[in-house]
Amino acid sequence: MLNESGKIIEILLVEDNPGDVFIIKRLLRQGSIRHNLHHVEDGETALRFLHQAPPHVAAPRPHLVLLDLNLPKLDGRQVLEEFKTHPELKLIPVIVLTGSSAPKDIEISYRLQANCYITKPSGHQLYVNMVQAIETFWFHWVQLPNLLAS
Amino acid sequence: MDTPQVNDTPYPPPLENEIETATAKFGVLDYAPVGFCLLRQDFTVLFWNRCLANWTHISSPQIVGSDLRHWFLSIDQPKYLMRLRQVFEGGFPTLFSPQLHQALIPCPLPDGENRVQKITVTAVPQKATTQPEYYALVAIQDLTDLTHQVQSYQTELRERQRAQAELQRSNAELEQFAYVASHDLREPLRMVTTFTQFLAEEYQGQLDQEANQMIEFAVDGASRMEALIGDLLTFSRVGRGADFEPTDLNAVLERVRDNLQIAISESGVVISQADLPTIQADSAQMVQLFQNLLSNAIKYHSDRPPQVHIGAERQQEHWLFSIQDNGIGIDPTHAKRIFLVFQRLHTQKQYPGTGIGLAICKKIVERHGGSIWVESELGKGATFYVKIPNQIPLGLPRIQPC
Repeated sequence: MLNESGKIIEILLVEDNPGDVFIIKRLLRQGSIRHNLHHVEDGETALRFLHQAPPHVAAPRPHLVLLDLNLPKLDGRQVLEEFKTHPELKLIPVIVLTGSSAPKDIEISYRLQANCYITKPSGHQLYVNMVQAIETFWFHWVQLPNLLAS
Repeated sequence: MDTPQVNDTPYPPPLENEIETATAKFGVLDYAPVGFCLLRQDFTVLFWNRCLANWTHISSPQIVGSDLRHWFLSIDQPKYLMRLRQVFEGGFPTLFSPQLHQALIPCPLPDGENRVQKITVTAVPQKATTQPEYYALVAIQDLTDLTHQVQSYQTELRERQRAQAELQRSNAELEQFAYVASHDLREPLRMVTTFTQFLAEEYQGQLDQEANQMIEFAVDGASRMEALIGDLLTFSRVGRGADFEPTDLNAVLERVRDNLQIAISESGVVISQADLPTIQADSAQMVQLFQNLLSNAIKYHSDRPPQVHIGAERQQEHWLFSIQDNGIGIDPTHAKRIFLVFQRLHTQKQYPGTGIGLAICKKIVERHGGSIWVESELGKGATFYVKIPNQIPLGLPRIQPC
C-alpha cells in the first residue's frame, strides 16, 4: 500500500472546468492521502507534461491520471489514445472523469484502454463519496506498477 | 411453325403468290394489338397488319409489295441493315430496344409524340425443303404507357429516397442535439447543484434559516431542470427505439411491477391483471409505456385504497389494453392536453413530476401504429386505453422525426 510507505502520490488532473478542479483539489486536500496534484487544462499540455516536454521538463511521472473527455485543443480521447499506445506511459492508470454518460463515450474510453470510467456526480454528497472512493480504491488497495516511481 | 405450302410453285415464286401466301398465313395477326410486318430479303413488304396501318396511317394495300426503305428512309443505315441481314441469312432474331435505338418504323401517337417501341425481328423460314432462307417478321410492341408508368415510379422512388435521406439527416441532427442536451446543457447545471450544496454543507451553522431556504430553492430548481432535460432526452429518443420483436406483455408487466416495487408497497395498491398477449413490439418501450401508465395510476390515487386493473381485449385488427384506476380522475376537458409535452394539471407540491410521462406514452404507442386516450370523470377514477394493431402495418416508418 503506497500510502503507508509514506510515498507522495503524484496525480495529474486534466480538466478544463475550474469548478471540478476546485472541488477535486479541496476534497483531496481534506483526505488522508499525501499527494501532489498537478493540473493542466487541455489535452495538448497534458501530453507535454507526460512527455516531460517544455515547459514541463521537470514534471514527475504521475502515478495516476484523472482525465476529462471534452477538452479544448486535443480532446481527452486523443490524449488517451496517444499515451495508451506509448510503451512506458501506457502503464499509468487513467481514470476517465467526465460529465458524459453517453454509451458511445464509455465504449470508446474502454476501447482506448482507460482503466475506469466515472461520470461526474451532481451534488455535494455524491462528489464527496466519489473522491473518497477513488482514494480508497486507487491509493489504498490498488498496487501500482513500481517502475513508475522514477 | 407450319411449313409454307409453296413446294409445288416455281422458285422464286411470283410476288403476288408470295403476298397471297403471307396474307393467308399471317392474316390472323390483324387482330393483335401489336404491329406486325413481314419482309422479304429485298425489304419488300409482304404483310402489314391492321395495327401497324392504324399507327402509321399507311394502309396495307399502299405498302404491301413495295420496298419498306422507300417509306422509312432511316432503315437504310448500315447499323440497321446489318442486323436485319443477320435475320435473313442466319435466322438469328434481333431486338431493337427503345433505350438504345430509334424506332425502325416510327409510329406517332395522335398528339404527335413518338411511341416508345420495343421491336423484335424474328426469322420465318420461307421454304422447308431447300437450303433455308428466311423472311423477317417485325413485331412492334407499344411500350409508351408502360414506360410512362415506370418513369413516374422512378420519379416517385427518387422523391422517396430524397425524403428518406432528409429524414436520416434530421435524425442525425437530433442525435447530435440529444448529446448536446445530455452533456453541454447538464454540465453547468451540475455546477449549480454541486456548489449550492457545497455552500450549504461547508457553511453549516454560519448561515441563517433564510439563507438555507434560498439554497434549497436553488438546489430544487437545478435538480428539476436536470429531470426535465433527462425526460426531454428520453422523449426525443423514442423514435429511434429497437426493432419490433415478439414481446410477451405478461413478462413486461412483471418487469414493470419489479421497477415500481417501492411505489407499489408504499401505496398499498391492489393490482389485478388479465392474461396479456404476446405482440410485435419494442419490448423496452412496452416496459416504459406500462410503467408510466401504472405509476400514474398509483400516483394520482384518492382517499380510497388504490386499485388498478390492467385489461386486454382482442378486437378485429387490434389489441385494446386498458389501465383502470379508482384515483382522483381527470376533468374530461383536459383529456387531450395531458398527452402533450410538459403539460401538467397539478402543482409540484401536490404531485411532483415533469409532465412528460404521457407524452412519451403517446409517442411510443404511435410508433407502434396505435393510439392512446383516456376516459374519466373528476373524482371517479380514470381509464387509459391503448390500442395497438396485431400486425404492424407495412410501411410504418421505422424511423420517425421528433
